[in-house]
Amino acid sequence: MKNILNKVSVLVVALIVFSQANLFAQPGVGPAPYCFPLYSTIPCNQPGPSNSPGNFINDFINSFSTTGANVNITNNNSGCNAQNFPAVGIRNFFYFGCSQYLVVTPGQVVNCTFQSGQTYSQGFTCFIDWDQNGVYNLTNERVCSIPGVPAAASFNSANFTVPVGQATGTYRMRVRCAYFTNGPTIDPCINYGFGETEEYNVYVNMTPAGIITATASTSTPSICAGQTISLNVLTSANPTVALTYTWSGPGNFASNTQSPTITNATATMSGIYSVTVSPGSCPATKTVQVTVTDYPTYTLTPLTATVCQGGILTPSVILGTLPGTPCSTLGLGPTCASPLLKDVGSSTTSNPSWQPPTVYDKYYYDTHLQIIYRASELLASGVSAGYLTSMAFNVAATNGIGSLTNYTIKMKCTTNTVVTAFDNAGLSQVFTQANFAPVNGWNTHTFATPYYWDGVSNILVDICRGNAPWQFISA
Amino acid sequence: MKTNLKLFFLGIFITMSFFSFSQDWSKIKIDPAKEKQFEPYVEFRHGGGSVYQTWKTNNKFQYVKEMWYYSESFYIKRNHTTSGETMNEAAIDISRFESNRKATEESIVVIPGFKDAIVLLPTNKLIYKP
Repeated sequence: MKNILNKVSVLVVALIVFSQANLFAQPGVGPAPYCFPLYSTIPCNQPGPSNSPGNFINDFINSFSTTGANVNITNNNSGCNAQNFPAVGIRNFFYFGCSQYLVVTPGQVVNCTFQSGQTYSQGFTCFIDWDQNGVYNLTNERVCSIPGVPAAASFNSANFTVPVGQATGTYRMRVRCAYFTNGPTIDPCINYGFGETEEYNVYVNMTPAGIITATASTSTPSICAGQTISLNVLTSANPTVALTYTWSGPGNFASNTQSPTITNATATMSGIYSVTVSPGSCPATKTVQVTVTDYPTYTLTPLTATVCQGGILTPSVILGTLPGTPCSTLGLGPTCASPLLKDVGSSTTSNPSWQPPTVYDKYYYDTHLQIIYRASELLASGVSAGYLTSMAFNVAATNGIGSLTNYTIKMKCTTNTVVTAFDNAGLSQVFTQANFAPVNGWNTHTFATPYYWDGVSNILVDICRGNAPWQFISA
Repeated sequence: MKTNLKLFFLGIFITMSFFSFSQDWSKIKIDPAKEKQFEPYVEFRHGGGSVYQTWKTNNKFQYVKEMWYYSESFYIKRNHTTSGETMNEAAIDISRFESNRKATEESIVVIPGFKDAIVLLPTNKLIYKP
């Protein structure tokens, strides 16, 4: 019974997330040894997501792509990629070292295409540090620019030729935009009022090492207690490349082998197992979910107190309560007459009425929001492993938001500690309501099916709803 | 009787003066082509989409004043220098250059690489500034 938690009330009055998920899209990798490009206005999208109507700051490289190389960059509709760098702060800078890169041959002509966000026209320029001295030289390392300031959101191209004698190696490319600044005059480092900078690797005459893809799997995704969990990860890495494997999972599971096994599994071992494979740089991380179901308890009762030798014994069976399966809505436990209420968070501030995203806002026609509650936060709030049967949000002011349609809440366990991108795999729906109108104060969503939290994983909460008629209002 | 007459004319003058003042905004001329070019900056300042349309409908005088600011509180001086790119004035959100504006004289903003320059009207010539 101690595992029964029948209500988690979540205090959410401060969901001011100016630059949304992209702000923390990946752990900050700075430009070192190159200079940090500076902008006075950070982040590069405000107040809404990139390209939202009403953004008075919308100054970024929305799209950058190349053609003509052996492997090209296609990084379109990336919006503002401002990041929070430890000990530095937010910068309108993103290094796409592992996900986007160029592979070229000396003498090759590479065509670059740039596009700004809507409304605010940007100048564009591009540098490659051909001499690998950690400095973008203004005279011979500015490889292409767009003259003048093209119209906002238009696509504009320029090209450059890879020097014929360029040595084999890895080089750094910087693409920079600045509001209403003539492309060929843009400096690689100095401060501009508005804009964004992206960096990429350029591989000359070589195939990039260390960029791999990985697939985690299990031959035993759903097993009974006592059986063996078998995990595995496969990669695209060259077999000669030395790889390290780092597995983690429920119950502080850890392993450094490619294919670990866990014998004599129990239900508490259910959950998400994560593996990071690293060839030295650009590690790939994948996850796989395993469900272990305990056998039910039962009692056998003979129908008759005695039976003669050679007679037939006919017992009745009473199945006990199925234990909950962690990180799922499976295996309901007994109901609890006195649910525990726990407040998570203690913020006393609230978002302004125009500031999305919140759990109740109308911003365009539909909203899809994901929030992570870390296990550490839940534990600190007094929540322990067991059933979550409802969730509540405290609203300071509805601001006349009205009704939200098909308000749906889903959940899953995750090892992620922040939302980096939408994670829609393996979600369990716990609540839906055709029309939900938030009120001032607590808004409780009672789950149709309780969700069993394992007490270890972080919880991803996924909220979807329709906003029609759309407005720009946040409760 | 004299006092009543005075009050009567005073009332008429006040009414006429108010009526005249309230019509001032209609005398502000906005070039339709410029309105099309610069309206995004007004729109984005007021929330965009239907929020902006509602604001525009309910605040016609304010809209005209702000549109005037974004489109008429500066002009482009062509060929200010001998070489460089041509400026596209529609790309200018003049509020981003406001720090250059002077109180009583025009200020010229030269941006490297452009042969044209931005000229901001002095503050004392503005009919509105956000």
